[in-house]
Amino acid sequence: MESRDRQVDGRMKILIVNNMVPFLRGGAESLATNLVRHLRRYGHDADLLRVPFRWEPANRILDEMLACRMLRVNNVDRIIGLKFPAYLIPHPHKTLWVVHQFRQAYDLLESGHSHLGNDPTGQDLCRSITAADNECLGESQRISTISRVVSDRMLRFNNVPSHVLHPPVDDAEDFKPIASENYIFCGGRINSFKRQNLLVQAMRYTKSKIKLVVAGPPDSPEDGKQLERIVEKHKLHDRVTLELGFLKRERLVGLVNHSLACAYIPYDEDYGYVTLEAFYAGKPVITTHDSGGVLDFVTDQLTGRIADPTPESLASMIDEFAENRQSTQSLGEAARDDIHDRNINWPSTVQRLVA
Amino acid sequence: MKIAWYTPFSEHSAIGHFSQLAVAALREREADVTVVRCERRTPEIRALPSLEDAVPTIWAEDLNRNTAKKLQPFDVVIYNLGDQFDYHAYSVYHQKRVPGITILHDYIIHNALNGFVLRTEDQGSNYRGYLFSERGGEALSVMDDKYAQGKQDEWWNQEIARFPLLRWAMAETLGTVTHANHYRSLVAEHIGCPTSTIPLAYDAITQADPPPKPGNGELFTIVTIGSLNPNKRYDAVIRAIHSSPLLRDRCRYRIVGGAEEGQVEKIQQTIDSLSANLDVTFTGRVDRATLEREVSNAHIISCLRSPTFEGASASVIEGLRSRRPVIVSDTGCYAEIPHELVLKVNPEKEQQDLVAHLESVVNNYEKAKARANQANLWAETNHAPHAYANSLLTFIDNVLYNQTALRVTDHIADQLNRWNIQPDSPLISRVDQGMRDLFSTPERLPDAA
Repeated sequence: MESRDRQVDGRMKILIVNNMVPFLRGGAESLATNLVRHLRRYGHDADLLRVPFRWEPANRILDEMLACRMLRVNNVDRIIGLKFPAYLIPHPHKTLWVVHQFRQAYDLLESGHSHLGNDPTGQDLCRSITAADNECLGESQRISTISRVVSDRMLRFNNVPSHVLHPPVDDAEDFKPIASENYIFCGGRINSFKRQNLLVQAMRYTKSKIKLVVAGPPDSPEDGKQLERIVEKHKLHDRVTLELGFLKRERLVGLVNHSLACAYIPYDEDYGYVTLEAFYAGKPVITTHDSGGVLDFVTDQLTGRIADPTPESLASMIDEFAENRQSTQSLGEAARDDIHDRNINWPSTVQRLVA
Repeated sequence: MKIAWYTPFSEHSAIGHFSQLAVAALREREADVTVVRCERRTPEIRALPSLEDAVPTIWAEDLNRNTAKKLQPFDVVIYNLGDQFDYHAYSVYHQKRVPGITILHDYIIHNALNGFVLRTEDQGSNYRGYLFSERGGEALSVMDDKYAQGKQDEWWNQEIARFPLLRWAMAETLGTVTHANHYRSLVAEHIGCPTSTIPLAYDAITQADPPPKPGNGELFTIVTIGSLNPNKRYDAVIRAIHSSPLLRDRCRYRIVGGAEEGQVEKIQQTIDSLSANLDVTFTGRVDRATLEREVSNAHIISCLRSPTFEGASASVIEGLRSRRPVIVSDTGCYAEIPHELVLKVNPEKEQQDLVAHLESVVNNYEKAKARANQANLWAETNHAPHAYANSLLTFIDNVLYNQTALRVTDHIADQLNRWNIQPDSPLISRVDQGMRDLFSTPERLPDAA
């Protein structure tokens, strides 16, 4: 049913629904705000609804799912849902652009990384989450995901096909191949899934004089302290720089633009702007075989290197970049060409989402 | 308040007479009540003499198209529901479209369900399916065993009391009125709606004083009134009279009410098997004037029931109001009558209690009448139509207040069901508590189960 207030010229009132963890911001939060901005830019009335979500304790997740499901959204032509459980909010015209499902109930449960127990209570919870997702997917008119890995999971666990719509980097033009200083840069949120600890440990094994800069906000104080302990223990102060905390955008852009190359080695990442930013800046990316959505972009020895998720393997790749600057630069140029060829931009993204 | 009052409304319906009394009392309290006849308009029912009402009644069948629209002018719809489907068909059909408040007259409504599935068989419904969905495999296997043994009467006359079925008719109801406390918790648990117990409004069938103690050569008259149902324990009364020389000499028994085919013959077989010259009379179905005369001539009213299917008994109220000694089974709604006002029979030692009570009345009729006088005063207050109307209006107010919360609860329940949430999930109690925190106010809690 169309909203009576739907504008006659094809412009729509679009509500983006996303989760929020107060005072925590990551890629999904940026995606949501950027999407609102670009929808407005292309003539739509757009607004953002952020629903508080906390995944611990696990037995309260159902409450938050139910809370979303009980919401009624009026005076809106379409909603675009990004994350579980916010995307459960009902609406007769729903588009999903799934950043990720609640992976604890799916692949992370299988791999033993889930905080949901594999006991009957945990299994019941997982079944309910799957049922909720299936209900939501069934009532959505269009289903996109941000990466192949997210689509693959949805097909595997929910038997629902979707198409991949990579989110654009909002300030892609700021990333430029300005210079190549003597450091590998690793940006983004810091937590155990991003595995910055492996990179820091890799610096024990590098033979070159290259440095490592890790910069970003730790999800918890312990995430930051863990890296500091490794640096301390192995006396890596002159090789590793930790900038723990939220970075201003200019600082982040500068660190990428001036790096020799970037490293991004999360475990089964859904997407990762870090890769795209590095490519726009003409920097090749070191990643790992199990880094998920990063592998949508990084092709070994063409636009970066793909290592095993071990300090030794990573150290070998870092040394390779440090010792073969010309080759590293060539990979960076290929990465830059690759990302431009993909034509990931806001006009086409908006067009596909509101089609 | 505008009320649509669904009810059977023939002279042969005790629920119809109750409705007459309740509606009049409600109108005295300025409620705008329309009587809607909920019977199927069969030739048999059309042939029954209608009760009189202050305003013309309408037939629910005439509201069957666009029911919701036609009932929209009413603030609330009251659905009287009993165990005979043809008499209450539209209380079932229309409640599914326009939920209202159910006045549940019978605790067990299996016969009505049977009628319902017979009338709606084209929709694929069946009695077994409803039995299984509401009561599970155990009920089904008990029924199947009885039928396999050729003892289906035991299923219909005894076993069904163990397996009440209500959701098929009342799943959508906004609130339920029971006549007695004994089945209130069942309704609250199975339907999950506000539930209130309001004693049935009913009046006296006779104002005549009890007849004097019979002289020598005269007999005490024991009467059982109402349609012949197997749970009214006629055999027990007959055997009690037969087993006591005193009662055999001094009592006769009159069974006043219409019977289904074969029922009289079954009771007659009991009489014949006793090889005694017992004075037992079957009047068949009688009109109200005859019923009044029968009660007026009675010395003792027997209102035995076992098992108990009824939510309340108009017969027992008529007995209490008649100022004649009343014998009841100590079960169900009958057990809730103060024990000092009636003669209660324990079904476990029915014969023994019954003989003792009947002999006590014969031996001390004046004492029994004094007890009956107290019973009349209690019943006059407890079953007064004006008290019923007051309580019902309060309950309606509560139900309308709770309606929003109930709809939300239903919505949540549907959602949780789709997500396979188990009934023992802690989420259920958190939702329950949340709903109470949001919607309950202390003064509204007592009547809301």
